Amino acid sequence: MGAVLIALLLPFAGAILLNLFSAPRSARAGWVASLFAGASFLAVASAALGGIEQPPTLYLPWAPALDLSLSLLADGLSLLFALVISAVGVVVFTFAAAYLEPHEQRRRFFCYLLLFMGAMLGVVFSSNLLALFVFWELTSISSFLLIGFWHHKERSRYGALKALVITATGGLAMLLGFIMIGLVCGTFEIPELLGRGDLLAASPWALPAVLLVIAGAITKSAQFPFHLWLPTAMEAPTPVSAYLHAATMVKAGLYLVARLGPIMSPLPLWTPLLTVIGIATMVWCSYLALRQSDLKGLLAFSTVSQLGLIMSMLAAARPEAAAAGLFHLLNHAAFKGALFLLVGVIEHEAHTRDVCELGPLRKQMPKTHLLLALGALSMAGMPPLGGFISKEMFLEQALHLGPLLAMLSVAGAVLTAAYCFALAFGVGRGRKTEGASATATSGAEAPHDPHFSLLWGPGLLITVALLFGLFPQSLAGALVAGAVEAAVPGSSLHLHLSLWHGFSPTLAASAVALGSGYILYSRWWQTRTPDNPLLVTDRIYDFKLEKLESWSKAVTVSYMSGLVWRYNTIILCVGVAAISAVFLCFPVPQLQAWPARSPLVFEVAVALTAIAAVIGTCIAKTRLAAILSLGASGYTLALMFALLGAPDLALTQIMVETISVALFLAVFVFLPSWRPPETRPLRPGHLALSITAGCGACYLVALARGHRTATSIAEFFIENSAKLAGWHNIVNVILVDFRGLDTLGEISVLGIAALACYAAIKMAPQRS
Amino acid sequence: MELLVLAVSAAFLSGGLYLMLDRTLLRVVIGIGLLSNGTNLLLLSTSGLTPGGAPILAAAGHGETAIVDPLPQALILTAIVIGFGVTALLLTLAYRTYQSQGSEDLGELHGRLADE
Amino acid sequence: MTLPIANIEVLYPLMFACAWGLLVLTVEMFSLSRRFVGIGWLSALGLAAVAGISLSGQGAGEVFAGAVALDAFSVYFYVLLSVLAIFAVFLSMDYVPLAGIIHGEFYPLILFAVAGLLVMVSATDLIVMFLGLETMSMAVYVLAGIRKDELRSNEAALKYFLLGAFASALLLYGIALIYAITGSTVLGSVANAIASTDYLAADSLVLMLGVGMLLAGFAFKIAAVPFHLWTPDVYEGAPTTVSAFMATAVKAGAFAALLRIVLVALAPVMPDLSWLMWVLAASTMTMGNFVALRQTNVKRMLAYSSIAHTGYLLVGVTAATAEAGAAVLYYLAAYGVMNIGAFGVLAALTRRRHALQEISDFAGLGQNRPVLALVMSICMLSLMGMPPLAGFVGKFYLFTAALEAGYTVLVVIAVLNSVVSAAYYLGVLRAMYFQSADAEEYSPRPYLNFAVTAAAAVTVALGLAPSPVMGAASRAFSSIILGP
Repeated sequence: MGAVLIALLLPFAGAILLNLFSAPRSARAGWVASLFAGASFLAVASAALGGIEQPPTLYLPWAPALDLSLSLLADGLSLLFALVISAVGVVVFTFAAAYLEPHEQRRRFFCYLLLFMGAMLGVVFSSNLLALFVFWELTSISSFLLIGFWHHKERSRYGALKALVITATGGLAMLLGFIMIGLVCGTFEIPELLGRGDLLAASPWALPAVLLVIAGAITKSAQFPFHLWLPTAMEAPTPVSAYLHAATMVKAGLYLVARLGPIMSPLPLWTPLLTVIGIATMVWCSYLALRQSDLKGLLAFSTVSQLGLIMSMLAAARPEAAAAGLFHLLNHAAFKGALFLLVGVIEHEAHTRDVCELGPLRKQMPKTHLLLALGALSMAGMPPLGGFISKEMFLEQALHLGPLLAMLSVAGAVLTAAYCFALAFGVGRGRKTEGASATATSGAEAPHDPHFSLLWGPGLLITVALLFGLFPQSLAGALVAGAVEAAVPGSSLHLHLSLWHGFSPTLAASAVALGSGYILYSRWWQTRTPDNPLLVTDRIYDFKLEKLESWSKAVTVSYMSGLVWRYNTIILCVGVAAISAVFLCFPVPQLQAWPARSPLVFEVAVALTAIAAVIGTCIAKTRLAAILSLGASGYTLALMFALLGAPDLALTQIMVETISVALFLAVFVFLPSWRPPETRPLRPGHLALSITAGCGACYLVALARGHRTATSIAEFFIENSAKLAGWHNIVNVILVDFRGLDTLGEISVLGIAALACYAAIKMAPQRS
Repeated sequence: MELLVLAVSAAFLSGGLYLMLDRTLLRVVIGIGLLSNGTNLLLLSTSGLTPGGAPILAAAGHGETAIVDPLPQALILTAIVIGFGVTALLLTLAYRTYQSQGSEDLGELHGRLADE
Repeated sequence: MTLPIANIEVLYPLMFACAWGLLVLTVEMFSLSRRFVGIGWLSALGLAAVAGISLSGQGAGEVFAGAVALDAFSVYFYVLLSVLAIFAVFLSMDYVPLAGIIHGEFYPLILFAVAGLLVMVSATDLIVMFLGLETMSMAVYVLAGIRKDELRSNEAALKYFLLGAFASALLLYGIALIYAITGSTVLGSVANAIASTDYLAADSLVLMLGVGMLLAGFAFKIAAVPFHLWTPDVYEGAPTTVSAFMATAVKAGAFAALLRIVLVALAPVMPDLSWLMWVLAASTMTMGNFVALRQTNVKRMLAYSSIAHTGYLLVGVTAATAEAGAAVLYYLAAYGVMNIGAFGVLAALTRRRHALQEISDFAGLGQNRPVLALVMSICMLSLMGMPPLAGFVGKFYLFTAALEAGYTVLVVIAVLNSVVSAAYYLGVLRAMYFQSADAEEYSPRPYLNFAVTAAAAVTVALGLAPSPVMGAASRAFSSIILGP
């Protein structure tokens, strides 16, 4: 496990060191990063050659209370993915080192790329679902940064955000699914989960968990209907497209499906839903690929379509199907990575990627074209390339899926073959349309094959793709078998990969696919201009973003007015509505009859005076009138306190009221009198609202009367006032003795208020 | 008597709330004053309003007359004093705002912000 | 019933905070220099001492007839509040002269606000809690408006004050209703009174409404819907470091008080009130995130984000289990630190008397000021809930606890909200790294830079090694539910 840990840490260490010790545009950054990637690859390779250790896990605690740990798992499946990631990584890093222009921010680029590589290795080596999620989101972020690397381009920024929004959302859905799984099974460790699948199956959360995890997988792998982010992500620098969006990141979804297959495939919907999604994606996106004029767009859709193929295989959770999917995954990483890099070379030399604008590649760039054609033919499934074998295996498995899906699979293969031929032969023949020729020839010099430093990487990958066809068993047999063992535990598959299977229905289907594909290419594709159809899903995404923004704006404008009285109105309305709702929904208690004491005449008089004073305050047209009525209301309130058996309160109220009125008057001296806008007539709406709220509040208190359910603490005070504190005025005793802390607090509030007043006054206004 | 007390507190609360919905700063401050007065009266009414004497024990210590709940009174005393502190500070701030801005119309003040 | 005053040690941290505030005030009066760095150091020292004293374990228990308690919960918040306030002080040491604040009351007011918060978090009596709240509020009202001749600051203070006074009235009214029903203001007795009756009977309606009023009062301080309206205006207008203090320390203190009320005093009625908290939580986070989408002003955006985070925290309050409570405590710490970092970066970008606040002002920060940009990225990603930062661990903790308590739909809403929030947090990142602008000259800001870097470091550390704080949070929370 040591090797695995080193392989995982190296990219992160590289990113940090690069950041610390390298100049922003250092030419060496790329080579240093390649070194780290290479070392990481060697570590993975040594782990793979050393065989799978038992037990294949390493436990590193993170937050044990939450079952969060960074435990590592290195079984056949992890190693297969890790080998792809690190091997393609080395090729892409070295390619990028030669590819980026000297003026670009290389340090940043390679930091992001190393970060991504580390995160991706983390995804496949995580043994804990939550750790897997952590790395999963880290790949989304680094992909965001890499897609937006050329941030001066509007399309780049748009694509970066779109990719992040979709994959990160899917990731969160997946997290929710993981949490459900973890809560049901009591662990987040994948090896332990394997034995507890039945717990999940018995739980009502099985279905939501399945759907959520599928959401995570298909957003990451850009499956239908979330395939929209991948084409726009092609704005990234080409090495990024080759690495993230062909060979590795988009395969994280596949990894997830393979990894969780043993746990999830017995659950309803998992296999059928993923199979249908996979096949549908494969057919639909290979059709869309045929209609692209941009080479990278074509490759993007072809990637999505191929991922669909692999997805449908891995979802079946049968050893043969898994073997087909995983072997195709290896092939795909090799030829698709190479194809992207080659398109990058073409763009680098010819300054365009448009099928219609490119000149006759075979003459201008023969070596590049040869590699391109080989890669495309491998994808088409042409013997003796690796793609042929895996396509055969796929078709053989597809025949098990029932007539409709089998037919669709063959149709997908036909479409695939068609765009592959287009890629291999169509581009090279310099098929030009009018209008485009002008731009193509305007370049200073004709494009030509690039320096070896740009060609050896794709060349190596194509060689691998070729070798996969010639020596499949010795190169990939053990690797695939080990991975299948992990993806479908307990299977006893006798895997033998070979180029020649003998005559079989599959071979016929293959031949049909290739033949019809060629016809489709020559009769249909060559006669029409690719039209780059706009995706419906794209429109939905844009529309949703716009809508969200405009709703947000509408809400903001309507209620975030910044005006205090509006805020108060809103709060009051909500309060009144909420309380009314409570009254409607709950049984309302009876008003208790209280010991009636008919008021004396002067009590009525005092009360009426108070009410009149309040009304006067509200309708006063001058400051002086308002302040004086406020004073009057305060003094009558003091009288009422006295009448209600609260002499202390009455005294305090009188004192406070006196000071308040004095203060009000002191401020008033400095202010001019109210002018018309301030003496506006009554506002009936506000009046109704405030009367409702005011009377409602009093009604509540009336309801509360007589409902006291416990003996009051007051008994204690009455009991002990004289006994413990030696004083007869209970209120005083409470204030200075029993609840002296309150009084202390009260004094500090006043003290702070005084300090605050002082500070406020000291902030002398500047006279302008 | 209790109805009377409730009616008075309702008047205080309604008046206070009404003024708080105004856009003139001084009125809002006055409204907060009325509101806290109304709350105090309401608080007092929770003590039962039983016909009883002030919560002062007879000098001898065994007067058996019912007395009203003293705790709300203590609470209200605190509330009155704090209410005063609040009013004083608010007035100071209002005064300062007026001095520097020459207006006490909350809408106008906010409008100026938007213009900036 | 006796009234033990013997264990006065319980009040040491509190008394020390008040005394230190007075000391700082006095020193300020006699200091001749207009640069207040020394005063800042003095304040930070005092706050550190408060944390130290409360950690030293001197005395535990209650004083004043169970009005104030120094339990593990209080200690957790004492330390958290002190740390957050120290951050705010360090931010201010550079920011105060930059913003043209020439009032020496600044630091004493922060100390008094902290003292009020300390009272609030350790109060086990509604009235004492109210007093703490008022003490804190008074100080913060003035702090919000302390920027001389700055209309925005003035208006912010007034607005905060006017609405705050309203909320205080509601709170007091709620206390009155609860007292009317239960005959007590001590949390434990309130709980006993409620538990000993059939609170589902019609009588309890009034109690519920009293609780509602009480919640409304606190909802104002924690900025929950519909009492959140002041937040953006006030955060925007207040001096940036004061906004930082309000968004973190004040919110943490108010949440502590709310937890004590909801999960101690109201524990018996919580099952009936969970729907209310549910609605509050869902609407608060949705409203906050939704409106934040449109903001181009980063300070306002952070204000809305703080509303949204109130919503996430309320998810934990709704769940009301021991796990969820501990998660809320942990999240408050994580949220506090990352928000301090974000506001700190805003403060660090202040030009003389002119705050940089628009998202476009962040353009090119990645190239021109890489450290600040990194700090801001860490804070934004953490606020977004991106692993492995503190925000992720906090959210994960909260949401898992809520799921376990059976609030699946609420958690789904919360997760959806997190997705929406990514859009506006990333906007800042996009501006910093994907747009370019000319470098600006800044005066050296050692304290600010130190504070924001430290905040980012703590955010990362809380994410990578959450166990110690998580353990403390868990112990703190269990101390209030198992306590008498």
